[in-house]
Formats: sequence, C-alpha cells, structure tokens
Amino acid sequence: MKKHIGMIILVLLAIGVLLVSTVAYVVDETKDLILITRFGKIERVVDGQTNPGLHFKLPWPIERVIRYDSRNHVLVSPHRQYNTAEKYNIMATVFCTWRIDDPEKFFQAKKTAAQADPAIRALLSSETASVIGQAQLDQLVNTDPKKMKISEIEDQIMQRVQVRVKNDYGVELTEVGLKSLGLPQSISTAVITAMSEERSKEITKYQAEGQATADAIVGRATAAKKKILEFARRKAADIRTQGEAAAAESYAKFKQDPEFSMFLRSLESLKVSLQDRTDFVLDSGVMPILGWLRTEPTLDTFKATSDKK
Amino acid sequence: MKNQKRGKNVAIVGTVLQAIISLVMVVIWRLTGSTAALASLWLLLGGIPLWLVTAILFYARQLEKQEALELQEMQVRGGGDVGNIFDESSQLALKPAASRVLFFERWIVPIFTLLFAAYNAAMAILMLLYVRKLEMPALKNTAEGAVFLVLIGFGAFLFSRYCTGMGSMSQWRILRATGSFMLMCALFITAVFVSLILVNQQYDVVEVIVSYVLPAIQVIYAIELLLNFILDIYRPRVPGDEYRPSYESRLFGLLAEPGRVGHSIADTVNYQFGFEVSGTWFYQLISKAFVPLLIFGVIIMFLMSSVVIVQDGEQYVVKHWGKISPERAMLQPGLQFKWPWPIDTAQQFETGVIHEVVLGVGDKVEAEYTKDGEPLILWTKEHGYGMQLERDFLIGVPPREELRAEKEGDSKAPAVSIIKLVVVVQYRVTDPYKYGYKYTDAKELLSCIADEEMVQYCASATLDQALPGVTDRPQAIMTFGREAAAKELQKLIQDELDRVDLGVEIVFVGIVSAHPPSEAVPQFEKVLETERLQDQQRYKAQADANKILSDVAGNPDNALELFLALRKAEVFEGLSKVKADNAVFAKEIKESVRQTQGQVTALDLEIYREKLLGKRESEMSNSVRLRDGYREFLDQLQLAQEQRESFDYESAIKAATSRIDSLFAMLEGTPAKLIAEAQTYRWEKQLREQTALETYQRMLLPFNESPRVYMFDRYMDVLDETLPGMKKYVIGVDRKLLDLRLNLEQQRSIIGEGLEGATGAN
Repeated sequence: MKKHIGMIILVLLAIGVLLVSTVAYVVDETKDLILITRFGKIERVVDGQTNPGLHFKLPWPIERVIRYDSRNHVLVSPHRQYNTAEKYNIMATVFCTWRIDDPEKFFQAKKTAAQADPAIRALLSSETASVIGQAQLDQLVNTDPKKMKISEIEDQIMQRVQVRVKNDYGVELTEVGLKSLGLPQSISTAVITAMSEERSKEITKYQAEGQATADAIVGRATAAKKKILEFARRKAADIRTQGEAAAAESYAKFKQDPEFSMFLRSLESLKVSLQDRTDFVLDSGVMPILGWLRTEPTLDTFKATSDKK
Repeated sequence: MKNQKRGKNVAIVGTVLQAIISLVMVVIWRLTGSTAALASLWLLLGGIPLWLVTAILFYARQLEKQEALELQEMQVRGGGDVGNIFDESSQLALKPAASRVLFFERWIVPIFTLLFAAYNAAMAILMLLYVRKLEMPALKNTAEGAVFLVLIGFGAFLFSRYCTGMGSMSQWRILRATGSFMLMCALFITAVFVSLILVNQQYDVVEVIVSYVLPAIQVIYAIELLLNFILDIYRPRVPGDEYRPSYESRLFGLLAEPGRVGHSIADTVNYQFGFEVSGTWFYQLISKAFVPLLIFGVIIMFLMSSVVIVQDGEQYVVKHWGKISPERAMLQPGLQFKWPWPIDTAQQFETGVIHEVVLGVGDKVEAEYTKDGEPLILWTKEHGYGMQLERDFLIGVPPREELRAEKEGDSKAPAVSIIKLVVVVQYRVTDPYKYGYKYTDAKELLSCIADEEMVQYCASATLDQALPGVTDRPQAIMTFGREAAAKELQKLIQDELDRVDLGVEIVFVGIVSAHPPSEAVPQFEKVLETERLQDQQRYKAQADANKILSDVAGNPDNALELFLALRKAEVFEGLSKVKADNAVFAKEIKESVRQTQGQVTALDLEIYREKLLGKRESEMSNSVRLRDGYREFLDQLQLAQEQRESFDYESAIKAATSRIDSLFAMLEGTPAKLIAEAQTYRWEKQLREQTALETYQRMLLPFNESPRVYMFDRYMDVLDETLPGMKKYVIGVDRKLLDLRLNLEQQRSIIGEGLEGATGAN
C-alpha cells in the first residue's frame, strides 16, 4: 500500500479532475454563446460577452453544455449559374457573414453551425437567383460606374435572406457580397470571339488614325510656319517703308538745285558702273570727252550727251 | 499439446471477437457518420487475419507436439535411438510437423508481417488523404453509438488482458502479440467513444483530431512492423530462446503492460541482441524511477503551460477563465508568465508578419516548363498562377448590337469583355481582438471582400484603352493602368475592411497577372504592334514638324507659342470689328472656339500619350505651357462669347501683341533673316540718302561759285578714279568709215578666272 501511495494519489487526482470537468465549464468572452440544457430542455443561456468566466452546472447527463460560436461566421455559396432579366446566363459566387442572434431558436431549428451552413447557403443561392433574375446585366457590369447596381443587388439579397433566417433559424446576416462574376463556357467563347473582332476593328482604326495624327502634326507646323513668315514679311516691309520714309525727308532738301543733285547722283552711278573688268571703247566722234578736249565743256554739252544716252 | 490446443482455441475466439467488433464498428460508422469510427475500422479489420495466423501457428505447434510424442513412443518401443541412424536432415524428414513449424516461423510469419505492414500503411495513408479532403459531416445518434462502443471496447479490453496474461507463460508466448493488438483496438474504440461524447457536447473539433490521430498511429504501427521484419532477419538465433513472431508490436506491448515498461524494454533488447540486459543497472533504474519520472514529467508539463515566450512580431491575447483582463490582455515580447492551463489561455497573433492572399485563381493546372526547368508563362497558354487556373473577371464594353444575334445556339455575346486577373494582397494584423474574435474566419472574409472589390472595380474598367479626361473609370488595367489600378484597389479594399472592422492593414496590393483569354491574345498583340507603329508615325511627324518650326523660328516651342499669340491677336482684332453685328460675331466666335477647343484636345491627347509612354509632366513643360496657353485663350473666347460688346478686346489685343513682340525678339531662322535684311535695307537707305544730302549740301557751295569747272572737275575725278585700271579702245577716225569688229571674249585661265571674266563681260 505504502509502495503505491504515489500512484493512488495520482489516480485520485485524475478522478477529481474528471469529476470537476463534468460540473464546471468556462465561458469565453470572445466567442462563446452557451446554452445549458437539463434533460434536453433549455435551462439558461450564458452569453460570453456579458457573463464570461468559470461557471458551474449539474453533472452530465443531467445538464449538458451546448456551445455556440458567437462570432460572425463566413459562408461562401457555390459558384453557380444565374439568369439575368434579359436572359443572359452568368456565373456568380455570393458570400455572407452570419451570427447567432437567438440561440434558443437556433438550437431548436439547427442545433449546430455545421447544420446551419447548408440551409443558409441554399437560401442565399435561391434569393440570389431571384434578385439577379430581376436585374439587367448592365447593372452588374457597365462602362458607366453610376449605372452599376451591385451594392443595391447585394442589399436586396441580404434583405430577402435576412427575413427567412431570422424568423426560421434565429440567425442574423451581417454582410452579403458578390465574390465572383463570370460567364458560362459557351458564352465566354462568344465573348472572346467578339473581343477578337473588336480588336480587328481597332487595328484598322489605329492604322488610319496614325497617318491622320501625323498629317495633323505636320499640317499644324506648316500653318504656324506660314503664319509666322507672313507676319515676318509684313514686319520687314514695315521696316523697309520706314527706311523709304526717312529717305524721303532727304529728297525734299535736293529741291534747291535738282540738276546738280542729279549730276552728283549720275557721277555716283558712273563710278559704280565703271568697276573692274570693264573695257572702254572711246569713239572720238561721239564721246563728249573728246569734244571737251577740243572745246570747253558746258552744262549744255553734258545735258545733250545725257539726252542722247 | 493441450496447451497448444488451448492457445489455438483462444486464437479462434479472438478471430470471431475481432470480426464482431469490426462489424459493430461498421454499424456505428453508418449510424453516426463518424469519420473517426471509419478511421478505426481499418485497424480492427486487420486484426482478423492476425488472429487467424496465430491460430494456425498454434495448430502447427499442436501437430509438432503430437509428432514428438509419437516419435518418443517409437523410440520406447524400438528400444533404440531412431535418430542415430540418420543425419540431422534425415531427422527433420522424419518430423514433418516440426519442419512445418520451422518453415512457418521462418517464411510464412515474416511474409505475413510484411503484407500486414503494407495493408496498415496503405489504409492509413488513404484514410489521411480522405480526411484531408473531407468536410466533416454533422454527426447523428452519437449517444447510441457511444453505448455500443462502450460494450465492444470493454469486451476487447477484457479479452486483451486475458490474452496478455496467457502470453506471459512461455507456451502461449505468441498470444502476447495478439493480446497487445487487441488492447490497441480497445484504445482505438475508446478514442472513437471520446470523440462521439465530445461531439455530443459540441466539441466538434475532437472528431477531426481523432480522425487524423488514428491513421497516424496506424502508420507508426506499420513502420514498426516493417522494422521488426528487417531486424528479425539479422537477429542472432539462440538455442532455446522463446519464439517471438515479427508481427508482435513492441509499442503495443508497452501499452499492454505499462507497469512493466522497463521490463518490456529489457525483454525487447534481450531478444534482439541475444544477451541478458534485465540484470543491468539500466533495468533497475528504469523499473524503480519510471512512475515518479512520469509524474514529474506531467507536473513539469503542467507548469510549463504557465510560461509564454513572446517573440517580436507576435502578440498574445490572455484570457483568465475565458475572460479578457485588460491589464494582462496583451503580452509584450520576452519571457512572460500566466496562470497554467486551463485557468489562463493564451492565443497567439502574428501581428508583425505580412500575410498574403492571392485573388483571381481557382483550380489547379498542369504547368509547362522551359528547358531550364522554369515554369513557362505565356499569354497564349492557359498558364494559371502558382499552378492554379486563373479566373475570369468581367469588364463592361459599349453594347454590341451586331453581335447580339445568336450565332450558335444560345451563345449570345453580352456587352462585356473578359480579363484574367491575379492580384496579391498582403496585409498585417493591426488589432488582434477584431481579427481574431469578430469573425470565425477573418482570412476568408478578407479574401471575399477583396474579391468583391475586384469584381466591382473591373466591371467599369477598360482593358487597355485610354480615356483622356475621364476620371470616374479605371483605365487600361491590363497595360499602363496596372499600377494605378493596384493603388486604387488597395484603397478600396482597405476602406471596405475598415467598414467591417476586421483589424487589418493592407500593406500591398499587386497585380501579378493581367491579360486577355488566350484565344483572343493574337488580336491583342496585333493591336499593340499597330499602336507602336502609330507611335512611330507620330514621332516621325513630330520630328518633321520640329524641323519646319525650327527653320521658321529656331525653336519649335517658341514658334508654336508665337503662332498662338498671332492667332490671338488676329482673332480678337477680327472680333472687335464685328462685335456690333450679332449674327456675324456669333458665327466667328463659334468657329474660333471650335478651333481652339480642338487644339486643347489635341494637346491634351499628346501630353496624355507621352505620359503613358513614361514621360513626366515636368519633362513636357513646353507642351504643357502651350496647352495651358490654348486653354487660357479658350477661356477668353468663352468670356468674349458671353460678354460680346463689353469684352475688353483692346487689352486682349495689347497683351497678344506684347507677347508677339517679346517672342519675335527671340526668333531665329527665316523670319529673323527677313527682319534683319529689312532693317539693313532701312538703315542703308536712310544713311545713303543722308550721306548724299550731306555731300550735296557740302558741294553746292563750290558748284555755285563755278558750276562748269566744278562739274568738269568732278567728272574728271570719276574718270581718273575708274579709268586707269581698264582696257581702253579709242577710235580716232570717223566711225562711218570703219567696219568695227570686236571679239570681247576674254582668255580663260586654267582655274576658271577667264570664265568669270567672260560672264562679267556678257
């Protein structure tokens, strides 16, 4: 006996722990929602958020602990086919989050979360089909974001499912969303064909656009060039005119003796004309200078010579 | 012989009992739907052949004993030693039953062990694979199932104790193998019982754990059997040694006789190495200290549950009897203490770790590989991401009226496009309470919400089309818009996660794959090619335009700005002239607004395209300045359109003219040359006339003194100045008498001087 005292204490301790475990239970503040049933009848509800800690009950099988997770459960419906109002087939996956709102009703209706999931999933799919069946495809996918009604569709699904799950299962939906949106295989093929055709059109358009853009760029530059040159020529003409105007002021002063003025101008011109590489043929009968060599030169002589020229 | 017969009978009873408990387990499995029951069933069924082999072994030994007795009788009657006249092999030939036992022990039992190990390994692995894929069903009739389990478990336990007790005697030694196996079956049944009871108490997770643990133990058992088979081959055979079949499990043997653990270990070692170990200090130590050591170990483990080592990047939420105590709720990094389990529990959250979810992928696909063994990813092949098939996302497009007609059956093409999009979302847990305790599966919810945002974001996006000026649609998420799309998605997902209060921070969203379906890829690639050609054409045109504008102004940007200023001045001058006539004014200003609007749009598009090609706005300052100039002009025109007569045309013209002047001053190129020439002409003209006037005025006085002399003198001065360097031909006779023929052609020099002279003369 003395030899086995250690073992006996150990066994008694284990039996004690086992006995305590049948009458004590811990309620977790973060996730427990507990029903205590006495011979199958609900005796009390212990909510972890309001009453956490160590609790006691009568031992099994008199009282049983039904433990529910009070957190929001996440549930994803299967990826399945739906029909829009205009009879387009689409594939969609919907998700929702739900929590136990009325644990007693939930216990009566579904017992466990694992049993509730298929029922909620079925309701979700069914109501999604109804709501999408009344919606147009362009309310789900649209080039104009303002015309998209995905949020409204999700709200409608939530409202419809909410009524059923709240009344029937004591469950509250907290979120509904569209997880995926696609097309059945046959329609995908048609869409892909259409995409390819659109691309072919785009290729033609880009080819034409490319040349047109290039022409426009060069055309714009040419127009700018013409405009600037025209303006520059006008401006240059103005400047020249200013020169002419300034020169005109000098002409008035030549009025005192116009013939002398012209004589001086002729000399200037003669000097310029008789530049290098000029051969000079002197006709003694015609050139006044020869005459001037014989006779004294006069203005009349010059005048006569000039007139002859 | 009687002993062997009794052993045989016990083995037959064991076979029947094993079959019964297996059958009951099948019923319980069907009744409750328990996966744990199914997992235990394979071990129970395997016991039937085990018992059968044991029964056959006993029967063979029974025959051997009978044969030995008969030989003994023959010896007694014959009065001699029968064996002496034969050699050893001949003795065996005279003992067929003994030889059968030897054959059985040497060949049949090891082969059976090998097959039995293979069976256990195969069934356990299949079961593990099955459990891994299985979504645990809700169990039913758990209480009824538990009652049946108690009955068969108790029966198995009693029978195993009976067999183990018999097995402690040397004549029934081989019953120890089946006895310990039966005890293991009883433990499996107990595990299933516990699982059903706890599931009944809402602890569903226990069913999952048991469903994994039972096949795992079966795998260990199979490995041990395989080792037994190998070790049995190399074991030294000691004469008179007890036979131990290789299918006897040492591990199960420890369970069958826990009080004799040290003894069992010593026995095993003795048997394997062929010498006595139980007399050594090792056996003595183990047999005395085992139970205290076990108790000490349990206490240490219990105390260890009060120690928590918190590493950097981790946070632990501590609950005292399930209740969060605010002052101790979050443990800091380092060595921390708490009350031992089950008083305090600690849940770990990796708040420093960047977690990742991949969106837009579904089922697994087979990969194609390069020659170097790298996965080959091409748009033209359905490649998937991380060996998972990429999912479709729908994108809105303008209605396709011509494609709505049914082409094949009911395959209509709705106004959507398809894009394959894979997005990686990386996040960090910022609030463990929200992340861990608001939702049962926060990661799944995060994935759902991110998917939802992607569906909505893609629905109004463009694949690769640019929409200048449009701000409410995501653009070109497949090409240049990827980065912007990723940023926008990150913001949208974060906003939505904040709304549902998930306690996470999105640190990165990256579009790792975005492309059209593989069937449409050739056309998409052609579009890209055409776009590049278009870019080339545009660049060439821009180069040509720059050349034209450089010729005209030295700098293309100045030229375009001057053009704008000229246009402004021209338009406002024109408008000021017709402002009184409403109809004409309206027509002219409408046209001007249209043209200017066109310029603004063209410049916007140009800037946008350059941006798409990677240029920053600062690198396009001239284009931006010009665009802003046109916008300002457009604003002025719209104001003039509104105000008509009250608009300040004079100021507008003045401002434009001032700008023209300042730009003109900076001009280079042809206009600058024109202006320079004009200015030169102007100054030359003016100076020449001034010089002529001054000369005239200076010479007028001497001329008036003696006009003839002065004129002659001036004339001669010119001749003196110009004639000396010239060739002169003087005709000294009357010209009428002469027939004058002149060859004015000048002699050509070798280097062409003559050519120049001839040209000058002509």
